[in-house]
Amino acid sequence: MIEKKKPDVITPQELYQSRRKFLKTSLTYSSAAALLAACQPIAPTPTPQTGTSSALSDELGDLTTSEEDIAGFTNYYEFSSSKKQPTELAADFVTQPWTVQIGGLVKKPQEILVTDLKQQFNMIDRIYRMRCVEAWSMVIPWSGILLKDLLDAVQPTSAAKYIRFEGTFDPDQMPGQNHSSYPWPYVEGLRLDEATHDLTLLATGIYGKDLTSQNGAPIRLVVPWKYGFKSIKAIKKIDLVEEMPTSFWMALSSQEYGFYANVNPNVPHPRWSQASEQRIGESGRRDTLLFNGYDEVADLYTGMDLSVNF
Amino acid sequence: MEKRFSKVQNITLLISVIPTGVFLFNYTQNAYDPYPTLFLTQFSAKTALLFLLVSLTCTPLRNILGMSAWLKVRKTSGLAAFYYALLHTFTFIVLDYQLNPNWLIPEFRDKPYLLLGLAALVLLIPLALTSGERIQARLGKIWKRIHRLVYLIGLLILAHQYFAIKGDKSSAVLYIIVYGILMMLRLPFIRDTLKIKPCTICQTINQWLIS
Repeated sequence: MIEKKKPDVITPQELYQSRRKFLKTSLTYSSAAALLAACQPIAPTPTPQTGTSSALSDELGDLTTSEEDIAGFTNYYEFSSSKKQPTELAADFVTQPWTVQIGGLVKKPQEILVTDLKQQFNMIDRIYRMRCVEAWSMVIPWSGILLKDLLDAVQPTSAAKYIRFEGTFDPDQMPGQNHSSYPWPYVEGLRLDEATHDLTLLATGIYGKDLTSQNGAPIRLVVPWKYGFKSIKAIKKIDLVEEMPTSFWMALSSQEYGFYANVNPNVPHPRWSQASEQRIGESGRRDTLLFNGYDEVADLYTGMDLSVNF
Repeated sequence: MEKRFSKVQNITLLISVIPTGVFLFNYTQNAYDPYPTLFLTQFSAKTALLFLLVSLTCTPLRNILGMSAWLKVRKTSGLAAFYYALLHTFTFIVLDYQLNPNWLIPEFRDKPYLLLGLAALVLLIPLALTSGERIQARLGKIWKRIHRLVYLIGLLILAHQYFAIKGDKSSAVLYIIVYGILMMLRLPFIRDTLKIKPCTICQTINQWLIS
């Protein structure tokens, strides 16, 4: 029997935060050093602080992916289907001011600025594995709020069964959205119990900094036990609904992408391996874990045939 | 006696290795980080398909222009297609899946498109082995029959890549259209309509190329 642990129990929050402070301090230190170096052209150039990323690891002991790789290798079809182009194409993407509208079957609908949201709710740090349906993965140190906390504030009515997220639609800034073969805007959904699970985040930062645009700034979903495509980026709208929402990838190809999209090595995908994955930054493949290693979510799916509800 | 390559063979050979050179150069520049196997898989696949289509363009060009040099291009680009297909398969099986049967067997069992690709590679082997002029002469009529397999190989590869592409399949459809056009150019009435009168410039160029 696998012992059930929350990631923040394994690595206490204070420790995360002290690491985060260390990260911040060391960054300040290195920029100060760089400034000093600029004043004294004879002095040797200081080595950039890259060691910070190797100081963090997930509860399984795997190191976090480097900041450079997280920001340089993304899937963001709103910009491009290439892995590297979103980094350049999103460079000038305007993410401030940014409001998120929360409505549907709730008692207290809200329209809230992301900057206010960060003030209003408890900000937390979590290190999660991110497993893409394309069989590559990363370990990412997120910061953000629990989706549950936001839902507590808007108070879903008893009729609400699902939560529907809608990404921004802005083809002027997002060239990929000019491709009409895709059902823009990006839509994702969760069952209410998945949304209120203690692992589910609305993330606003990585490595203690604001999200980069290509990583989903200013606010995105993070559901670590599901394939990466569930974790919708640049969220504009959140609605509580009664019916199961049709997600972007379901609309495009429902035989390939299901609503649940739980990481599951036993349910094959017609294109990529779901049994093994390439961890970015490592040389070889590794086995993929059921629910991406987050066994505590298994209770959500008791009695469900996961190969049917994939 | 030392065998000398004709100019057209040298040119085609040079063109065939350029993609490998570009890849190796970019690789040393870390352009494919942080996931080089992914880029090598896609790059070798695209290059193999391109050379296969070039190879399939040669017979219609020979028929239309009346230049035998195209047959040399056909052979060399066909071999290039085989080389890049081998590289593609090697990347998948050895570099990506590390020859691990626990990962590979379920993949080939669950994913028909992988079997299509593997079948295409296997069928390319007899074509590559019988590509030399001497063996071609020895095989006579059988040679033609063996090499007609390329039409099936083309179909297998097009299907393989259609299923391998995520989301927007328009690039795969484009290759299918190109293949369709190349097949149509082989139909006798189209071939004969397009055929141009023997031109002296074509003949001069051809002589130079095959020298």
